[in-house]
Amino acid sequence: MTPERVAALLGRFPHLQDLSAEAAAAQAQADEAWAAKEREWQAAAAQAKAEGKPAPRPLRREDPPVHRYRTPTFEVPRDEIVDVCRWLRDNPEFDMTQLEFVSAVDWPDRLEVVYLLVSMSRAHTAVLKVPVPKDDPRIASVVDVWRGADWHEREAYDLFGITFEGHPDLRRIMMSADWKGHPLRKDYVYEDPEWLVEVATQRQREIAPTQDGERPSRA
Amino acid sequence: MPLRTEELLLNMGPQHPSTHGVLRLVVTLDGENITDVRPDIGYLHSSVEKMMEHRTYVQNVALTDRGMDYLIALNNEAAYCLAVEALAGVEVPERGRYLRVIFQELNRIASHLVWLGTWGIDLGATTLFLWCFRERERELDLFEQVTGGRLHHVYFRIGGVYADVPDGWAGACRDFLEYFLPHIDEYHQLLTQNPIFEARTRGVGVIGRREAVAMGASGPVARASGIAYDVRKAVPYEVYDRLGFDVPVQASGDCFARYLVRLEEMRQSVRIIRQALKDLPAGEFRARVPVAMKPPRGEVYVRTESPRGTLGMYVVSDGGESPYRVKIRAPSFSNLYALTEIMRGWKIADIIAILGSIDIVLSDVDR
Repeated sequence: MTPERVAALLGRFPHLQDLSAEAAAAQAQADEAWAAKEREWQAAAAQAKAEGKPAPRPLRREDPPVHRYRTPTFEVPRDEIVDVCRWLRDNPEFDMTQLEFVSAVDWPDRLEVVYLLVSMSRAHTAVLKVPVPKDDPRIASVVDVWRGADWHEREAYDLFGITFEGHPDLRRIMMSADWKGHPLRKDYVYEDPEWLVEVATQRQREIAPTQDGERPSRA
Repeated sequence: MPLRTEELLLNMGPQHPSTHGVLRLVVTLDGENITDVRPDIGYLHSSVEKMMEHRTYVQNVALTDRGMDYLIALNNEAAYCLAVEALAGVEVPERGRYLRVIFQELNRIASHLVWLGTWGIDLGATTLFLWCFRERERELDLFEQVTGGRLHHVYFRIGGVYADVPDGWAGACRDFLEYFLPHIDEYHQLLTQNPIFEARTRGVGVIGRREAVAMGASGPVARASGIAYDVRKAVPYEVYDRLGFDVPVQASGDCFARYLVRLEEMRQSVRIIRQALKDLPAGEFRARVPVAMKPPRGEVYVRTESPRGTLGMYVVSDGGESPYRVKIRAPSFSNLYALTEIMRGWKIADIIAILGSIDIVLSDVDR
């Protein structure tokens, strides 16, 4: 996405946060700090050489704690997501006609709903991220903007427990309707469903030897 | 006495030969006309995304073979490797990239052959099945010589491919292409002018351009609806920008158009492989990558053109040894949604033709 388009998007929706630009700035800052450190070391090494002392220990760079985004990424407030999506789809400058997927990431402190938009005519891609609190994972559905969001939102509901308000048919899609819990959450612990345990126990009882060591007759 | 009519609820699948896996369709019928289709998926849900969070980046390559679409193992591996390479900043040597392109295109041909053969069986053309699998068998032999596997190869590695091709393999591959190309014309002779086949597919299951875009269809399904879009052209990866090939497009959007697009794609794949074999450079085929690799914190989304459509990999790293989150954007998932949505209004017999023309693989839909 060109800088002009990013500026236009941020101008229209001032509450958006350009995560990729922030990450790039943080990375540049870290690079600069590292370069300064290296210059210092080189000066110290040169001085040590001039004085005939052994060179100081070489530096080792550790990766700066920057979360890098390889695709233009924007953080969108929860109540603006449908407006942003519709604007990105309808504005010919962006022309984001395709929604590749809707999914989520489970971070320790929040759930992040991820929208991946693609423009076929402009050949650009954008990621929209909406943080939602874990105790209130609700967000407006974008089915009205892209019909294709239907199953993707159902999947995110099924596997992450995010409720998409306004979705025409929000049911589980991968797991069976009576499943408990949301498997892709980090705190999900797999337990055999009760009915399955019952069936298995019953079967075990049937084939287990009786008390005097004989198998029950199958007459 | 007045004739009493009512709608009929028909359960199709999950075990049904024409569903190409385990897909259940609850179809509401008014006579022979479909009034509603409710697809029920998830029977093959293997939760591969969750499994990937518990294995290292290198181990996950093997998971992409099995947990995702089992007919296009190499294309899955490519998508995953490309994503991790972008995340970790790994540079793949030239030879590795060319080899990857050759194998992805060979896999595309193999996948299209399975699709054509099984769809033929769905529509009653048994000969086609035997012919397609005959050609595919020779192709699987080519795979076996290099990767040791016929379906699940685990051949691509982060940073390149596992091993170089053996001596004489390139010649064998050229021989196969030489042998295979005339067979595409045979398929045309068998089907394209066939009145039964045309009656079952021409004008059936039409999906319009706007609908296809809105519902997220991609790959041959979208290209048969007049959308001239191919990720290999739009956002070239590997070395696709150096290879000449055309993107076949049809405007009518019916089952017949999807068939024509895929047949032409096989021809283009042959073209790509021939060029890649000719240009195949000597040298290293794999970059050095630590086994316990730890890509820096960050995230990446990589799109590739798999035989079924846009296959995307969204990988999030928290700096650890295994990915924090992997989201697989499966092409069949969106294509199946699009095609089941437009099934209303067609006849019951068309369900088989339409389902087959999407080229779904249920392990790709469910993951």
